[in-house]
Parts: sequence; C-alpha cells; structure tokens
Amino acid sequence: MKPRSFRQSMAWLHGWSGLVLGWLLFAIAASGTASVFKNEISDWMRPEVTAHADPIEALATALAYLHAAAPNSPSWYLTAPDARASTTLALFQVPKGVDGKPVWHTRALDPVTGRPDGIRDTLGGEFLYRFHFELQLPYPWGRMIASAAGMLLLVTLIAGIITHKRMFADFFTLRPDKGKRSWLDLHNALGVFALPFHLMISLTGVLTLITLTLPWGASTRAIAELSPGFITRPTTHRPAPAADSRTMLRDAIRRFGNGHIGSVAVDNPGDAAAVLRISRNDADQLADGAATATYAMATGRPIAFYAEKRPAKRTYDVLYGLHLGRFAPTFAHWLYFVCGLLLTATIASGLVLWTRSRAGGTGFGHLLVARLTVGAVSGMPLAIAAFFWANRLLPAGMPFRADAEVQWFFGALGIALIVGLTLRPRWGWIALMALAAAGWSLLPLLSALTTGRNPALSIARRDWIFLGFDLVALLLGIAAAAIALSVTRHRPAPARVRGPA
Amino acid sequence: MSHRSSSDRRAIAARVVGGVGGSYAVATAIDVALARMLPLAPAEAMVTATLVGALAMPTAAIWAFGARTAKRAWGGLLLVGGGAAIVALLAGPRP
Repeated sequence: MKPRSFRQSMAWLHGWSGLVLGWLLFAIAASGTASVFKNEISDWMRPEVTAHADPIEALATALAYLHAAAPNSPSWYLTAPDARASTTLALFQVPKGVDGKPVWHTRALDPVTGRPDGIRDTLGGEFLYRFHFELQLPYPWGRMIASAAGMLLLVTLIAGIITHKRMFADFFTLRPDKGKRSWLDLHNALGVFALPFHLMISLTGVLTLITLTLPWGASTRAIAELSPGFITRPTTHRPAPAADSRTMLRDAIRRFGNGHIGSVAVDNPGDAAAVLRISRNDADQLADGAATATYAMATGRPIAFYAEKRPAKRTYDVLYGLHLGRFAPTFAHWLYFVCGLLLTATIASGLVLWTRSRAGGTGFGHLLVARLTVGAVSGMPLAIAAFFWANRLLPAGMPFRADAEVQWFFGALGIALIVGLTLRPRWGWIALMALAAAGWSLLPLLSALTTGRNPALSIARRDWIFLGFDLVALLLGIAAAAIALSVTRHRPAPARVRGPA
Repeated sequence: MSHRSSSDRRAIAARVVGGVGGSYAVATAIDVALARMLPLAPAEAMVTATLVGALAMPTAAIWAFGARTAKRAWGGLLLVGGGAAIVALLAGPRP
C-alpha cells in the first residue's frame, strides 16, 4: 500500500472490512430486523393462544405451575404477558434425556391456566432473537463473533462515510440501468437514507456485549456493585411453602409507581431462603432494565427495592435500550423495522457491488464471493420462511418439535448456500428468489388453512398482530418476486472478448 | 492482487495487525487506565471506562488504516496505547 490519500485508504478499508464478515452481517441484520417484532412473531407462532389475562394473574398461575412442574430447578425466570405478547414465557430446568441431566427449558405458558398444555412447542420469535447475537454457537463464541461483526460494521460505516464526497447529493441520485454505477447509487442511497440508525444500531449492538468482549477494566468490587438490584440468598436446604405471590406482585406495582410488571425471577424455589425478584416493565422508558423489587418468597416480606440512578450505568442502560428498541409506541417499532430492512439491504447491495466493481475478475476468490453472496442473501429470507412453514406444518405432539423448526431454518439456509455455490449467479438468484417469493407470499394462505385464522377474521377480531404478519409476509414475497423478475429481465453487457472465443 | 510487490504486502499486513490487534490493545489500555484512575465509585468508573474503550477501538482502527504510512499508523497506536498502559500501571489495581 503506497502512501495515498486518506479518502482512498478509507475506500479500500470499506471494501475489505465490509467483505470479511459481510455474509454473517447480513444474517445478523436480517434476524435482528425480525427481532424487532419478536413478541408479535411469538404470538403468531402460537396461534392456539387467544386468551389475554392480567399480568398478575398470569404470573401467579405460572408460578403455581412451576411449583408443581419444576420444583428442583435452581431458578425460574418468567416474562409477563403484555400488550405485545399473550403468553407468559418461562425458563426453568428439568431433568431430560436418558441420564436425567438437568437442562434449561423455555416454555410458553397459557396466560389463564399458567400451563403449557395444548400450546405447540416452539421457540417463537425468541429463536430469531437468540440467533441474532448467538448465531446458534456455544457460549461465548457466538456472542464473540457477533461482536466482532458488529465492530466491523461500525468501522465499515465510518470508512464509508469518509469515502463519500457528496453525502447529500447521493441521497437523490439513482441512475438506473447503468450497471455498476446503478449498484453504487443504490448502495449509497440505502446507506445514507437511514445512516443515523445504522451508526446507532452498530455501536449500541457492540455495547450490548461489551462486558464480554472488553472486560479488562473490571475489578471485584466494581462487579459486586454493578447490579445492586440483583439480590439473592444462599439456599438453607429447609423447604418452606411460598407466600401468596399476588400480594407481592401487587405490592411491587405500587412501588413501581403503577408501572407494569415486566419479568419475575425466583431463586431456590421451595427453599426457606427463596427470593422473588420482580422487575418493572421497561417498555415505557428509554433505558433497558427498570426498577427491581425483591421479596422473601416464604414470608412475602419485601427485602429491597432498587431503581438505577447512577449516571454512567444509566447511560449504559439507555444505550442498551436504544438497541433493543422496546420503548415507545408501535410506530417506533415499525421505524426500527424499516430502518433494519434498509441496513440489511445496504449490506446485501454492498456485497453485490463488491463483485460488480471488480468485474472481469475470474479468479477463484472472485467467483466464491459472487456465489456466496447469492446463497447468503437469498438464504436468510428463505430460512426464516422455512422456520414459519415448519411452525404450521409439523404435528403438534411431535417430540423435540421446537428443535425441528430450527432444523428447517438451517436446512433451508444450507440448501440455499449449496444452490448458490453450484448454479451460475444469474440462475442462483432466479431460483432462490423465486422460491423465497413463493415461501413468503403463500405463508398467509398456509396459516389460514392450518389455523383457521384468516385475514378477514383478523379484521373482525381487530387482531392486528395476525393481520400485520400476513401483510408483511405478502410484501416480502412480492419483493423477492420483483428481485427474481428483474434478474430474469437483466441483459448483461456483452463480455469483453479475451482471446479466441 | 498478483501485481502487488512484497513490500506492499508487508505494509498491508502491518495495517491489518494494527487495525485489529493494535486497536483492541489500545481499547484495553484505555479501559484499564480509566477504570483505575477515574475518581468515581468502582462500578461507575468501570462502566465509563468500558464505554470510552469501546469508542476508542473503531477510532484506533480507522487511524491504523488511514495514517499516511504504516510506520505512522503504528507510531500513533504505540503512543496512545503505551501512554494509557503507563497510566494504568502507575494507578495500580483497584480492590
């Protein structure tokens, strides 16, 4: 690299740092965008649940169920139903498999009965959310790799901004049918349009995992004092029945200043020293993590109440909350979703542009990049569609049903990657995008046929979650069809003849 | 790529090592230095230090690739990272 201008160096950096984990970044951005509607997706994937219940009643019945079903679990974690989620989500340990080794188990519980009976076993939107930062890899590797990808995205964005000469003009520039130039215009327009979002989401994304990736400033005391709201007590090995949970839940709401309950944790359930930690729902505030009230489970006596006031930790909580985007009304969630789609499309167009701007490259590396892009970019929408198809098609009582849904996801992704690597890019795009178009646009029909919950019924019931899901699926199907069609119509410029034909 | 000279390749390798490993080392040094010396409660100092360290990494990475020569890139990284490391050593560990 000869000495050259700062801007040229940044252009070089943008091209390579974007490529290194570009396909992974695309998958992370796509699953993250879907995670904006994690709760709504979970509701769609559990169509049996139509009842709604008050969070206090739902949590009380769920706790009663866990006392009977998972008495030996070291802890229980419950997420309360709210306006965006019908079911109570429970995380607990149960003995599983031949050796009876305890494993953590996630189940959705009916808000009225507190039981999982009759609800299909699925991870719901939780799977896409987990995949977004754990990539289905063992702890801590998935999170490490996701962090590295986030940092690369941040650096790529900064380098891309510096490369830019005419940020404002590019906003209005699109020269269609000009080959590489059109791709560049598209990439720039997509990137610039939601640039503040792209910068915010990559920076805050890196920050969500920063205690794992940059832990070197920690000291024993700092860690001990980091979360004063997290109070637990060692087990006494003396069993004791629990006090009435409704009283504690109501008392917590009063202390929260009439906020809603977000989640509940129980440590050492059934023990005389068991504690019930109740956290306020943070959907009405910017910061992630709200006030926590802790109770002695056996007596119902309040032990502690904590609301974060320290400036630095509060700043971190706000940055964390900005990434999750749980705050604010439905409109803000849609804004996050659309901006997320724009970021996903920016990454995809950047990957395409990488091969386009090195046209004439015929080496193995060039070919690999071009074909991996086909498989990865069409693979993610295809995999998510397959995950939803599995949810509607797999029999309700099937053992390991939730795992099978996940296998459909990775099966579809794997097939797309293989097809992308095998076919010529033009045919790869057409085949995979046509398949994705069918997968998404037929999803509302499949759902209506298998659950009886069709769009007309959704409108009659004012069920905006099902209606919204059906509409988004249809729009994504149309988008995939448009991509497949435009590739079909595209006539590549005649290749320069190199030597005898 | 084939017409790149070996000195070009060495320069690129120097930038990549500086941009990845070097920038992480700079972030670590700043994180530790600030966590040890900021006159705040330990947890507050740790959180502030981590946030500044997190911002230092992309900044250092851009510097590593943007500096006019690879030598200058490494000089800058060593100056800032070394400076922060010395501050961290002088401040000593917090309990």
